Amino acid sequence: MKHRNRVKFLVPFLSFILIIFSINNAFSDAGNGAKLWADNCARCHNMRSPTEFNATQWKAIMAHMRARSGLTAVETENIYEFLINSPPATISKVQNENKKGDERLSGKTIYQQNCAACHGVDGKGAITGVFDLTGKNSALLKNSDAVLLKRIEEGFRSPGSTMAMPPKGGNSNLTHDELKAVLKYMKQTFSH
Amino acid sequence: MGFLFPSLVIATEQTPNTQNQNSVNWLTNIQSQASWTPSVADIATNITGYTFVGYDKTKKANSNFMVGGFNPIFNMLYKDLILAEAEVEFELNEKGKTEVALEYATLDLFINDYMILMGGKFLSPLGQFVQSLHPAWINKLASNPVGFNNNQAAPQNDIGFELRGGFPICDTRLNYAAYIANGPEANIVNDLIDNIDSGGFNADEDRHKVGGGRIGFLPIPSLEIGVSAAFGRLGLFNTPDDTQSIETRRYSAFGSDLSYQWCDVNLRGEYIKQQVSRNALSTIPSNKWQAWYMQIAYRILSTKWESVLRYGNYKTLQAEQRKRQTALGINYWFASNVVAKGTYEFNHGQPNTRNNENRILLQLAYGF
Repeated sequence: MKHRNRVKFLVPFLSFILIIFSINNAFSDAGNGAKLWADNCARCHNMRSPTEFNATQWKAIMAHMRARSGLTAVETENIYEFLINSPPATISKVQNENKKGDERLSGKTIYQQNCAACHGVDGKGAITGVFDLTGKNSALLKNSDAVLLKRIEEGFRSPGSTMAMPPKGGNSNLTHDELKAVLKYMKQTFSH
Repeated sequence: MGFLFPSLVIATEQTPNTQNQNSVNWLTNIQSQASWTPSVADIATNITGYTFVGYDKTKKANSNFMVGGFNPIFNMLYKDLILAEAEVEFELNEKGKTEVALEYATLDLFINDYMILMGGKFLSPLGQFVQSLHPAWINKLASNPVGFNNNQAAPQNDIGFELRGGFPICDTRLNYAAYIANGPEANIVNDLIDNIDSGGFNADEDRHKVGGGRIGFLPIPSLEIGVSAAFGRLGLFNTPDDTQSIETRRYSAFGSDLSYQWCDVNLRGEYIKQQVSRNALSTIPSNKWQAWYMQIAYRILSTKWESVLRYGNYKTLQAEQRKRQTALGINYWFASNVVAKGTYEFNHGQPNTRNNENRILLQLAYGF
């Protein structure tokens, strides 16, 4: 009887283990790092700025956080790539100079891929500490395009906010023209 | 060395006559390779952690300034294969003596994309507060919820092996933890099972293991619902220092937890219960310890100010341990990892005990 109970317990447990092993690499890239960063880190604690640690430190921290929060290896790698590429990277500048005009993304696509994770699809802010981009008091209306572009390009911490926006929203591959496109999209969409 | 600078290895293998020419080649090669440097070494290490200091004043008792704790966390990763992680807790007791404790120390083997095998002393995966929310810079109030401290309703640590991981399912996510460990021990006081000690035992004196786990489901990224359970047997001990249990009993634990983030509002709730069964041949009755809390926090108008409200209840057979608590908090976030907290607790316990007295706490916490 005792042995039968053990078998009853072991069969579903071992089946679960086998399923987990069999699905290794079955899923493709689960999303971009910025979105995963916004979705997973804020569940337990405030978002930490990418500039707080260097690449080696983030590597060890992300392994620790993978164990804590049930991230997959691919998701962990995506967040890590986002964190270490948030500050302007020299190599990305070279890549950007070589980028052809037809590779340029639309403002809407750039916003959805790089900004919506924190600012929300509707521009009202998806996580704590991110200001509303809509309405009469929005930073989009109160500042000139030059100021806004500088903030997007170099990163910016709003007064009263505990977290800074990383330069280029964390995607150092974005060109100056692409940043202008995303700013144009935001102004057209959120500033009424 | 040969991997990074192959020409250096070649140079050392040449005769002295060709040394000058090889030196030039070596320098040229080094210069050509200078643009390629590994950004991260095979072993990546760092120290994170948290520290907190504060002040507390319980009604009808002395007020105290205190060092809450200094808890460095060490992470040492080798490639993407294995991680050694440990948290050491330095505390001062009431007499000012330093007390050191190993909160957890594990080796985490990354088996595949979706599974990690952890061995060693780990934080109990039952519930959410103990394993994820207890650090002072994460906990939104200056105190733990009632019933979630050591020797109360929530299991704290265990020593054994644990499988952890997570994976996406369509647009939802699932994370899991399953473990087998030495398990807790129960202490007898006045012929009652007074408490369950789940501090993590390095020797299994009662010779019975405990197994359990947690499954967390995220239908949307901002909502997590978790259920936990553990089963096994534990020994009853007359004193915590005894090495021989007087009897063993069936042990079980159940828990459920919820967390939800909506813009500037953070909502959390958790229920946990530990139970020791009865033994018809024993005069010592069964006992159970259960606790729950609900907490809502709001970042006021997206500023650095945050308000917190928590209600919790801790129940057990012993009247002197029971406690209901409503806690109000106001926090100021200097940075996302530096917070000043003010907490006021309205406590309801057995009359004329400390559990029945209100308390004010001030705390400065820093997560590094």
